[in-house]
Amino acid sequence: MFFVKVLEHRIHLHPSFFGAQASDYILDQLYRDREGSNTGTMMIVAIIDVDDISEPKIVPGSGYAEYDVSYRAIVWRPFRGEVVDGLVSSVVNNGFFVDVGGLSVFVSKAMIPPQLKYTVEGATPSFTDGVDQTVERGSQVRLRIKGIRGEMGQMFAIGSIREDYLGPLLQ
Amino acid sequence: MAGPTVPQSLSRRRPAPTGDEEATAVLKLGDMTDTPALSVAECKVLLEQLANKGGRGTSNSDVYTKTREYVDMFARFKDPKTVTQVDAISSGLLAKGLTHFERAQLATLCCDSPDEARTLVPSLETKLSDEELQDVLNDISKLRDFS
Repeated sequence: MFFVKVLEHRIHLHPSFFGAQASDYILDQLYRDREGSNTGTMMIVAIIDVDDISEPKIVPGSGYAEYDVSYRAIVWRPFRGEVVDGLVSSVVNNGFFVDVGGLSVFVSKAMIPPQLKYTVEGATPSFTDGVDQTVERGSQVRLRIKGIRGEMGQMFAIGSIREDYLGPLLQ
Repeated sequence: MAGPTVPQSLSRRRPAPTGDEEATAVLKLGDMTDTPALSVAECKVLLEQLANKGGRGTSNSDVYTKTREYVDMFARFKDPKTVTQVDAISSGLLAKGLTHFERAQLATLCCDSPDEARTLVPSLETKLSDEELQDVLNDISKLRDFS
């Protein structure tokens, strides 16, 4: 789920940058540090604007100036139990991987309805019931996120399509 | 082993563990509660505006590129004017007790029936009557872009 969140970040500026353009350097640093980062629970997609840059405080002992920057950003955060749409990136015999933005969700065989069976046609593996529902690389799928694990910089998730209204989307 | 135990009041309180957020029949959104949420189409419009504004609009990071591709593909409403209309329709719901999260989910998933909406967003269970929900869903589907 995408949110517009107000976040805070602490930036240290080297004394060589003190000058008229200090605020530009701070913004550059902010964008470089936070845009596109993955904190393990959420991803900061884009910074919208900066609300406030605090007065600088010199760090005792090192000479760097410390700024607290408050900014608004579009963040993406998955929740357990949330229903999302995604694109299937690969199919293996015990499930398939779905890309939901920057997150890769694994749907295991146990979370796939029994009618969808693993079949390999030519070189394309897929889960299909032979009639109208097929899950293969490039299909769009609606799934429910069942569990999320986060570490610094990465998120892993598992999902299920074994419920009403979930599964491959008609295109 | 058997050392002196620190009484509760003298040890620093640990921050609350953030492992129990969920969006099932009960919404426990942690620090995202009350944060405005965006549906996929709204996010697409916003990202496009930020990119067009120039300056530092776009980034080359993996997360940004993948997210832009994702919203381009899955946005149900392509035109910014339509997105504003959908926003107006679904914002009426906020006054009826829905949270930001539920409103954005309804605008993203574009369900056909109240039953589907309640199944996909379980926390909606008791918040809206069937007719109110069906009305909102009809209004939203009328604006859908099938191209």
